[in-house]
Amino acid sequence: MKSPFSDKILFLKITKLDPEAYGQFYDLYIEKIYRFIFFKVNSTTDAQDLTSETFLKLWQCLKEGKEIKNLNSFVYTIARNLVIDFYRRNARREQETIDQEELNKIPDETDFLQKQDVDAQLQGVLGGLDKLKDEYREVIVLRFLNELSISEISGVLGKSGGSVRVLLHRAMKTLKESINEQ
Amino acid sequence: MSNNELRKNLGKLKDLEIGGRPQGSWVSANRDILMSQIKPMSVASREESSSTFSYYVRYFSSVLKNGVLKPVGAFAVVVLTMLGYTAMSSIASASLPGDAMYPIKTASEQVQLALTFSADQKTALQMDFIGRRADEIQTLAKQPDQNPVAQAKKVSQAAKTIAQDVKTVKDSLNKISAAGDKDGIVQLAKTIDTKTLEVGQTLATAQKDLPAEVKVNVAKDMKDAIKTNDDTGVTALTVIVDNYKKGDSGISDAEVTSRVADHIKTVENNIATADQAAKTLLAAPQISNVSTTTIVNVLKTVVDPTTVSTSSVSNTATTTLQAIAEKPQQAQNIIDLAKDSVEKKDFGAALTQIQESKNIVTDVTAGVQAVSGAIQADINASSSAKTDVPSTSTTSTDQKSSTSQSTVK
Repeated sequence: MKSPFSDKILFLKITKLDPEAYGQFYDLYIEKIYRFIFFKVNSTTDAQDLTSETFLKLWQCLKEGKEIKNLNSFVYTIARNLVIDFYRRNARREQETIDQEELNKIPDETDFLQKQDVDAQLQGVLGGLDKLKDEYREVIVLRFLNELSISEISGVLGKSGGSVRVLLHRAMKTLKESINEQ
Repeated sequence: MSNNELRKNLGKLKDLEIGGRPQGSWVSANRDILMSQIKPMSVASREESSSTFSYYVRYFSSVLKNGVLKPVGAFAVVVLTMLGYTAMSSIASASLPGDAMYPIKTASEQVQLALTFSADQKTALQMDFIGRRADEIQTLAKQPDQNPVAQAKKVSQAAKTIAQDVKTVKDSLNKISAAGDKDGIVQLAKTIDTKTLEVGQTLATAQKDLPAEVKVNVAKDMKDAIKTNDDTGVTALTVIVDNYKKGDSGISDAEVTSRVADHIKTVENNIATADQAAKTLLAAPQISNVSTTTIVNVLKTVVDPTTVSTSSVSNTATTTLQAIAEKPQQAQNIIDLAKDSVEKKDFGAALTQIQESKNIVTDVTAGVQAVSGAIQADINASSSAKTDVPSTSTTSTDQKSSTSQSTVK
């Protein structure tokens, strides 16, 4: 986004259901939301489907006149909830019971190290991310890949700034240890 | 790996697909799908809310289809009779100037206005009716089979009503503003600002869609309607800005910026359209065949001499139009200044610049529309004169005429 000032204008237009403004919002957020979901589901197709659903669902919420205080946090919350539903649906299919609250444990066994032509250091980082629990991976993705500020992350995760800082510190420490172990 | 190296590598990941970067082709295809999904949703919701009569019809049909409720049918008939007037008004609401039902529509509006006692509600209602007149012009513009003279008369009638009513709205706004009702005036100004922008856009589209023969005859009235509407819109925005400056009206900085930005965007769209129309007109081969006197006479009826200098209305037809074709750039330069003023939060200066730019664009658009209409009418007249003369080469004349028409349009 250009500046907080232009953010406000864009958000105002979006709340007035301006499709053009929503298109601009899509351009700004598509990569971030896709990445956020991708690291949770570890599948390009599923990430694409859930990302599309996120943007459509947000528009429906706007149309229904839902009160949205922070659009940034709101769109991530929609994405998170859709991922929860996604795992819940899959779990039903597999006749397994998965606790919604335990979502962060679900994709721990994912394999992000597919056959990619990336240098050794990046492969190490990806391998380390792969081994992290979802809660740690999520905060790292939000901070260092999606470049959100601590206060923005606290809005998305519903935690205080202090808790986010602690979580991020632990996540980075664990990631470093995991990389060094490889 | 140090913390800094780790952060750097995490940053590098975002550029890779494996690091969660979506495929460009999917992003763009998905955007198209999303836009096609949300646009009908917004249109549908507007249509649904606007058609009250269709709601009644759907509701009563569903009730009467229910077997248990069949006896209610008789009662429904009585209710329907009582609702006769409302229903008739609803049917008349689709009528256009010149239709048999149109007087019922305007009379019904007058009744509604007479029964509205609050000055600000009355003004807001009047803005709704102005919106209806603009919609009528747009519908008329899309009816190509009409007699051009009758069509021009109907368009002129609606355009004159808009100019008159929108001026009344502006006067009422000034009166209410002077009375000092801060909360009421800001809300009313917001409504007028939004509505005038909508009306302006509808009129600009209609002006483009009008058949060439009609354009030349309605150019002056359309220009007056657009200009008065723009003027009222800017007045409403001025009220909003003034109250924002006072700081006690609850208007946020972002809202004022958003509203001013909406005006700038509309003017920029109109500049682009005017620029394109002027260039198309200049490139039309028929220009060289039209006398300068014809063009000057047409321009004199629609172009404001203070905006498009009369000194430019001289020499040949081409040089005259070239001078006018340069005006959109001038308007764009002014609107660029308005953007700078918004950045500096000098909304007062931005409003003056928006108004100045709007005036230039309205004049250029009206001038270009009138001249292209006059040229087209000239071509049509000479074409029909030729077809009246027995000739063995009728087909080639028609083809030439048809090519000319498409070029000018």
